[in-house]
Amino acid sequence: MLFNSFEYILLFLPICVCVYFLLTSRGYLKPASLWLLGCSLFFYSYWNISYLPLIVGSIIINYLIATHMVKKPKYKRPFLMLGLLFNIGLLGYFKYAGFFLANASAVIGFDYTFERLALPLAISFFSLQQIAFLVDNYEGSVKPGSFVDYATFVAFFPQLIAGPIVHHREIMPQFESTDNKRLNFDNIAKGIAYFSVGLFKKTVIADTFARLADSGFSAPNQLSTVESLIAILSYTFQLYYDFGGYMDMAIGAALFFNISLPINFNSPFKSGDIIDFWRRWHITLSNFITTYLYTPIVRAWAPFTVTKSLAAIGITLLIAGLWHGAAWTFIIFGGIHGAALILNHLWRRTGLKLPHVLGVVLTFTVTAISLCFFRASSMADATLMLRDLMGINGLLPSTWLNGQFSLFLNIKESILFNGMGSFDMIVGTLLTTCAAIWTFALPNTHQKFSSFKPSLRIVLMCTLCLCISFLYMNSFVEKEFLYFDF
Amino acid sequence: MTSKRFVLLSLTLTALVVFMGVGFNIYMNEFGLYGEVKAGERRVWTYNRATKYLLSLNYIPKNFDAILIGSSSSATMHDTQQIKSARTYNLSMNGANICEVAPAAINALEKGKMRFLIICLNPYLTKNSMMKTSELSPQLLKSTYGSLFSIRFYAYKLLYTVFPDIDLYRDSWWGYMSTKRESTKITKRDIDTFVGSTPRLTTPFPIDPSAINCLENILKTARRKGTTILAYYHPESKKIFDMKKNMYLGYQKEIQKLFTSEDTLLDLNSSKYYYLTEDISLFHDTVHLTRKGGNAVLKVLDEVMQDNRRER
Repeated sequence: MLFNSFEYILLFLPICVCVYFLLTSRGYLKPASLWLLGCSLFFYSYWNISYLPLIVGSIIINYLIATHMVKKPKYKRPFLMLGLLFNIGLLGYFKYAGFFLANASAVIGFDYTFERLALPLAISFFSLQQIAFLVDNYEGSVKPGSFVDYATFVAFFPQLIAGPIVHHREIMPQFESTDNKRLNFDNIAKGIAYFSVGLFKKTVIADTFARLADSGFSAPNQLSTVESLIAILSYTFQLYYDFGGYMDMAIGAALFFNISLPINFNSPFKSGDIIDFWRRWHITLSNFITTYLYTPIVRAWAPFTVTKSLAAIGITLLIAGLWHGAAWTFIIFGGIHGAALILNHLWRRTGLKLPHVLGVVLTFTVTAISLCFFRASSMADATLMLRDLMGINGLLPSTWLNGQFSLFLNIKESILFNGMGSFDMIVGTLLTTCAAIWTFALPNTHQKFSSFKPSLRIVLMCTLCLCISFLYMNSFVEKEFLYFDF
Repeated sequence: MTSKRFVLLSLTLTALVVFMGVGFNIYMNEFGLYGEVKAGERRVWTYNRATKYLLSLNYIPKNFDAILIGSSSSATMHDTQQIKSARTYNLSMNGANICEVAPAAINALEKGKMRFLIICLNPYLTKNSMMKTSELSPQLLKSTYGSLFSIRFYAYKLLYTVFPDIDLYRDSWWGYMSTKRESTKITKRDIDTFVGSTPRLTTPFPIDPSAINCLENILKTARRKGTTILAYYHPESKKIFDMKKNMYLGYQKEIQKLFTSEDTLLDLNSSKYYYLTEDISLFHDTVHLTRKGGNAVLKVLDEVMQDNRRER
């Protein structure tokens, strides 16, 4: 079930919230928790019920390992290793086995065909979340509570599919608090505001950019500089608003249950350098890789030196790239960011400072180029897009842009034969301008709603966002969230 | 404002706007989806395929007793009102293959009491079977309650009402699609050049088996509903047809298998119709007909339909 679907917004979410608070208001706290868990598992299995045993099995095994770590502290370390092996093994089998075997067979030359498995939804997220839990449990900073609470912490539907990657210590106290079991209109109001803005970002902005990006990336090697620039920028903004919109909706939906999810997306394109970018983009992933990947690597390489630290950054970012997907394009994405981070750290050591605007432009450019690899279906396509950008096919638009913007070129032809495209493209062009202003100049959702005070102005804004989003949702194009694939 | 008031107001206002929008679209009933809407009261303003699909759900079955299906070669045939034997809606779609036309054709046949199904056969119709646009899906009906589709529809309705001169669908009440082919554009020299520059191929025109399935489904529906089938091979300028004759023969051999003795299959490229194919003024280009050409073909069809009625 998608956050941007009518069945989620008009049926699932209201029913889930109403029944939950109906149960809590009558003192049925355990049944309420069970209801929330049941709803979350229903939400997960709505896509493909065949993977339900996978998430349930993963939850049970991790919970058992964690409880045994507490019960038998002598065997904490072997249990931790077992847990890590299980989670990484699960991820490796479903996500990376095909990729590694294909590459190994290409290098070594053995003939082995691995039937590519469909990636179980959210496996990257619930695996990381549980790895973090096991490590924290090993270090004694968290203790597993009841099984239902633990399962709800992993499967809580607002954050299950695409994050944020939450920590047990952040979320469990909120689930356990009896105050949070009471209907809180302050949180529901704030949740509505977050959700409406997020829905608008996703359905109106991201999905409109998606059409331009899809069109451009489907024709690499045929684009002029301007066309490939538009395609790459469109994808950059698509991902930005897709992910940002999803996060707003996740935060909004969680607030209905009085759960505050951590901020995961904090205007990353306003970053003055790439270090700052990773503090604002997918913040919980950055925190995870810093705590559970970078730090252990640096510790393992003690004594600390700058060179080792920079090498650790490079390795960490390559792994972070691979986490996004089992393909060389994602590894290159991680590699570009790793290289940029290393350069950024070295630059900082010189003590020189770039003007902030220049830093923003530079960071945005590096990110957009890396996202070209992120989006392209193969290394060859990504390279072709970059060659197009360099002007291999000329500077000015030819076929692709003519197709997209034909309304401006030949109104009659466009109306007769172009069908859907032209009108939406005008909307899209206007949106690009608005999105650029919104991205770089206006406060983000968290800044806007940090001191949320209900007002008629926000009511009207929410109504407008919801109604326009419904209009778009009821149109032909319906797209999943990009981070669902990771 | 209290949070409770905020929540109630936001939800109520959103629901109100949504209900008003949906109510407005149902009231306007632009595609004749609800109740009785008379023939000639609904037309195409934009999205010709989507509009015709929606009209096929209620408006066409209630008001017409024949449909003409095909691609642009028949979509551009002017004024099916000239067919006196039956009220004929031109359900042909520009650039469409038979699988794209099929949903609307089957709707019209299933929901109405069609006396005639007229099929304009040309190799383009069965060359492939993919849906080139995402419009023709169950989502389309939902989108009439309010979507980018309906907004664009009203925008064009307003534009064409204010500026009728640029209205490309102004004669679309009976399904005609384009005003671009009012007169002859092609000359004898153009045809000679085309014939001279096109390589002579002997292999039959390609036929997609899935497209044949779609055509069969339409024919089956028509037969089940007792609709008389009248198919014709779209006329081509004689010189061009002669050049492609070998390609046509193989194509026609395959297509003929789909029709029974109960059906009428006309070959408008045969010697009987040389008066059509030798007249350059009937052709707008190498494929499409001029208004005059369209009228000539409609006259032939009408005569056959009248004969058919007399026989029955």
